[in-house]
Amino acid sequence: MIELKNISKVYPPNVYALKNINLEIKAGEFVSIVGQSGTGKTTLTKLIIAEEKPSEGQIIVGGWDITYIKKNEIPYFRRQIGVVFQDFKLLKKKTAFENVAFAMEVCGINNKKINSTVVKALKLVGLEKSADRYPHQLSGGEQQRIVIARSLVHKPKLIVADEPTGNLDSLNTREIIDLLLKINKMGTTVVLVTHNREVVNSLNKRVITIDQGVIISDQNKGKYIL
Amino acid sequence: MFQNFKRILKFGWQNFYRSLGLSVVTIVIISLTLISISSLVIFKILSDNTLKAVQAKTDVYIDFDPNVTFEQANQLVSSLSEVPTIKEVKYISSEENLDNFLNTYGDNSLIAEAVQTLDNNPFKPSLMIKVDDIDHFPLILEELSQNKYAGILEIDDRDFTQTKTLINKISEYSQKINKAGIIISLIFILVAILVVFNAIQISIYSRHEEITIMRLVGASNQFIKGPFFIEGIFYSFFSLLILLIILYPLLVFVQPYIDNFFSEYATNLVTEVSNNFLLIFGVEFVVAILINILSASFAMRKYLRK
Repeated sequence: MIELKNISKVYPPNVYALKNINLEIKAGEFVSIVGQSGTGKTTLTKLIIAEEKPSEGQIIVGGWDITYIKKNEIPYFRRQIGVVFQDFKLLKKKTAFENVAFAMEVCGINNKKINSTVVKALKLVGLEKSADRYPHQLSGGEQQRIVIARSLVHKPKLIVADEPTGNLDSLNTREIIDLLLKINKMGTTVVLVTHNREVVNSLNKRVITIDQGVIISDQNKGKYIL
Repeated sequence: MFQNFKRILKFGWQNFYRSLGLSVVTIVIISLTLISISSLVIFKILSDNTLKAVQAKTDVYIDFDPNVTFEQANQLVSSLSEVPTIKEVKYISSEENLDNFLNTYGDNSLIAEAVQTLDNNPFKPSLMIKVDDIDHFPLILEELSQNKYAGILEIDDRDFTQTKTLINKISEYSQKINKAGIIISLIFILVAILVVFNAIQISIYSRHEEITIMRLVGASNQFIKGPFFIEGIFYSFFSLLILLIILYPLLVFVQPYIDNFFSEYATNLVTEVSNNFLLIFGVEFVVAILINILSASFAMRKYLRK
């Protein structure tokens, strides 16, 4: 699903955010990428979703070589992946339903299809009764679930979640992680970028640890080692 | 495709009305630009029509020598009719000249009495020449001043010179005003570009989050940029509407002053503008759209690069 070959990312003047990363994530895997702040986790996420280009190396995501992806191809690539961020990125003036529908509207999907898909996505995240509520009327965990519902509407093969529980208490954190596990069980590859030790240790899944831009550990049923 | 266009239109309209204050300021500036361009166009219509009217009414009378025979005069008339730059040439007998004079000045009793006291008709037969372009007169007069016509014609080009001076003056003033108008319009166009640039920039800034989300979920660049262009088209449309609302009453208001000032050479501005409606307002709409596209492109290139 994801292949990174000799990836380095250098920011001017000569700061290595990532150095010679080699990584393969297979379809259907649930992988946690861990590391302390500023170690290159977010840069890695940005490379995987084609928000940044590598300085060296090759990246293949879902069979698509995105190393030198053209600007006009990026939207089509992004429709194949779901992205979840710590800061939710929900539109305040839109209801939960409208926020999820927005992801389909901007891609030119017809209203009938939007209505049925959004209802299903909200049901999957357990928020079908909150469809008409605005983000400020929802808890942090509920807002993040709306974001996950939005990331699912294009039926992605891969979900990249960058610190999805960073703004949540332990109860909501558990709900979000359970939801990501549920989505993974349905066949979607999940890449969870986090520095939450408890979450990682409770998963008992593959853990890749990054420190100062380098992979220092890659364990199949790993723990948070830093 | 149509669905996409409908949504781009909807988002463009939302951009427009959600920052209504900014939209109003932008529209006012574009309207001022269009008004300055319209003033320039209307002034051009006015000066062109006046020049045409003056030229159309300019005819030169050249007196024949009293001893010229009718055959000689007719021969000259027919050879001048062949000259392409001459619109009309006509032989006017001394009787016709007298009648014309009395028709023009007959109401003045002193002049009428003075003419009656004369035993003979004081007018000579003459040659009336009309041209399409008054600039052709000097060449024609030069041709007629040749020796072969010396015994036939008595050339006095005073009338022509006075008209020529009038036309030159109108032309000179209109060129000066046109130049000033072009400079003012260019300044307004520049200001409009900056204002629209600023408006779109603020619009992009205020929708920064929405744009980020659009990118994340795979909206095409066309879809992200489209609403800003649509917003620009709304600016253009409403600016043109304001121009129309202001311009026609303004023309009706100034018409009496135009009539008074130009008297017989006056132009009916409402009719002229209506006759050229598509040309004038079509061009202005295109100018407004170009201002918006240019500014929006600059703003988007700067802020939507990724």
